[in-house]
Amino acid sequence: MTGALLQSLVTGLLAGDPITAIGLIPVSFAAATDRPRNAWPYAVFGMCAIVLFSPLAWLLHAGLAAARLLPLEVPGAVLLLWGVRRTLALAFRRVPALADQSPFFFANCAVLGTGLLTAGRSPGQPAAALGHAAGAAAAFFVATVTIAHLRSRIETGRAPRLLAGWPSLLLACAVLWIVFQGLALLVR
Amino acid sequence: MRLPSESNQQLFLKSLAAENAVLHSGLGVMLAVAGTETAAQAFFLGSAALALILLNGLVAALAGDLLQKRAPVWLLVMQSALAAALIGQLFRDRLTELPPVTGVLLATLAVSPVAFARARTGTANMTIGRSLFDAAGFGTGLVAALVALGSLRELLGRGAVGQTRLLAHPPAPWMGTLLGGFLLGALALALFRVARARSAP
Repeated sequence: MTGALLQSLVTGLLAGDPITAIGLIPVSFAAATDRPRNAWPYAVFGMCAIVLFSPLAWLLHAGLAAARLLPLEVPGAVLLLWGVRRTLALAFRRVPALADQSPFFFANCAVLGTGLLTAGRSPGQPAAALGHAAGAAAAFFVATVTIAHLRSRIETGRAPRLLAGWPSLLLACAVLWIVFQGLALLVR
Repeated sequence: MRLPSESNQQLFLKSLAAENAVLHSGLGVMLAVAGTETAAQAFFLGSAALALILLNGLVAALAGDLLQKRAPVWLLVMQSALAAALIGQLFRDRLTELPPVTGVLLATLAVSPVAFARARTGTANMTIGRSLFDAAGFGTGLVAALVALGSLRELLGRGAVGQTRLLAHPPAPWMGTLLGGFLLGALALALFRVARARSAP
């Protein structure tokens, strides 16, 4: 049990990040990472959303599979995502910097995609699903903050102005993808 | 921006190229990066997105036309989720032939602004016909951009497009990975900016 948890945690950390490992880049991610200072609250809210949503998505998948209602998984997961966002907005209501991130997670493909992948990849293994969700959430946090710093370097450096915005974000993702791949090779 | 004086054809062409979902606004960047591993995957996801854009455009225009109200975002997202689930069921066999994350990408289309942003911002105060032209141009532009990126990635990464082998050896096998999606996406967006800057009066 502990071994499976640890293994899935490392897998989630090195290959579960929705941004650099799968390419699920929400539109809000571009604005959230345009300055390193803006990235922190987004990263924390996103990390909490992934940790909370993925195990629930796993439970939803297991329940619908048992009831032979798997075609309803996507609408169910979307409703679940709204519930998670509302719960987190309530939980963070005394921390305005975090509560302000709530609208970005109203419909967030990174959180939804991570939940669906976690549910689909580890059926019947709750510990593995939990480990994968925790690893993916940590990787999302690291990726968001690192990408924001890389973008600020690219955009304030000598790079041409046409790289500002989405191109610099994608270049930063490419750099981080290489880093994660290298780390994954070392761990293997 | 859409002007009342624009004809349906002008609306279509403007949404198709000048306001392209991938290259202009970045709404379709997720699909351009993650959904263009092969041309077939790009076409499948682009077509699904086109269907969702048309559906949301139609519902938003109906709400504006009949009820004089803007369709709420939750309604657009929920119907997109149901439509994505239906597409997933209808093309269940096709999905098994495409790269493994295609099913998840199809599901995430439901919450992607590319599917509902156009309906939300523009089509609510348009007639149904104009709204459909606008949505069709936007969606077709998305499909065209995705298929172009997917074909290029497949050609460089595998030396083939679909079943047709065009190069004896793939010149850049890494193009088939996500790294290719990131770099080609960045290049396409930067080139589009250059082209727009040069064509500006």
